Amino acid sequence: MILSLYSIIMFHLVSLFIFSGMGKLLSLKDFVHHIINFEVLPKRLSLLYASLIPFLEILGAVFLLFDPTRMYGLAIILSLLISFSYGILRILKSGKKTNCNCYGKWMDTKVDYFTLGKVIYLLGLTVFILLLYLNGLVYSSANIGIGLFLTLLTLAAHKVWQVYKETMRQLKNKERFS
Amino acid sequence: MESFIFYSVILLWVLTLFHSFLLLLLFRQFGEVYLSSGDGISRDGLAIEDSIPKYTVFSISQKKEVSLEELVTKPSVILFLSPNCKPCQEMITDWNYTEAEYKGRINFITIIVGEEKKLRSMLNKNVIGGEILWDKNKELFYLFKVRVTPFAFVVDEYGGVKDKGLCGRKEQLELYLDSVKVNKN
Repeated sequence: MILSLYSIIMFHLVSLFIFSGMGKLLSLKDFVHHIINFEVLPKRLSLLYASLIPFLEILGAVFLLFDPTRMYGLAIILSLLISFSYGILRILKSGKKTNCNCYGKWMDTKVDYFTLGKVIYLLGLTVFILLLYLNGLVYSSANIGIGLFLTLLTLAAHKVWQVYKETMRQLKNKERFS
Repeated sequence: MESFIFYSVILLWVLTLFHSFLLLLLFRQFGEVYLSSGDGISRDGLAIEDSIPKYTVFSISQKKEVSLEELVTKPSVILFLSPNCKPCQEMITDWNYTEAEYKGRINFITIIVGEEKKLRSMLNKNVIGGEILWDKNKELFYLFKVRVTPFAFVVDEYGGVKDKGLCGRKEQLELYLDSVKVNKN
């Protein structure tokens, strides 16, 4: 039972990171440009870091799938998530409104508290996996299916949140004293 | 069977959380559409025919505590203003103009909510016609169930609310005053 839960979370993390890594890779130039605009790191370091992120995401996700490399995968994913949360917190603190490009060209997402919440949620899952650390994944269709479904819901929740924010912005901009 | 129940429970929990998230967003949008719009705000305040609260408040005009009920000796218009709000500042000219038109026939009562420093600054910059009251702790503001300023109530000589609503212009104020059927001077 616990191995199934472990596998579901693993497939969820793998599919989410592969999806976001692929999205960023397909629009790498835009993504790098956005990361530089965050102004969290010096320009050259931002360039290097941003170019590496999509590859690290995909590599980390693939490493999670196999027992001998799982620890490296967890280390990569954990480092990425910690750096994401630091970057998001810095941007939120500065009050800057910018795109997070979390899924590259596949979804237009902003840096906001939802993004921070999502990163914390993923951090929680990664820490859970790390603490449990079991060998062997159960490659059953149910585990893979639910893992993918969780990813789909995470993406849907992010999309719904973006639509909600846009609607609220438009509603609040309406003249109240008409 | 055991695995089926296990997966079902996981799926149901995930879907429940997702649905709760959607509902939360939906309710927040619903609130913005129906409660924060001009129409929504106009539904704020004491209901029509309700009586105004019996409350003692500091009168800046008389420099003493007065009973709101005692001020309403004839049809009156009560306007809530806040020193911080721009539409309130813009309303003052129209308020004074209308007060002059109805002088002696209708009591004009302004209730200013907020801190003393801001209130003094507002009064130094503007002359406000009629009785001026200071609702220091926003008690009247809440008793009248107001959320947004400038908000006006028109009451009859018995203190019953006849009309109410957002009040940003002279025309709006005159429309509310029609409810007590008093002619201009």
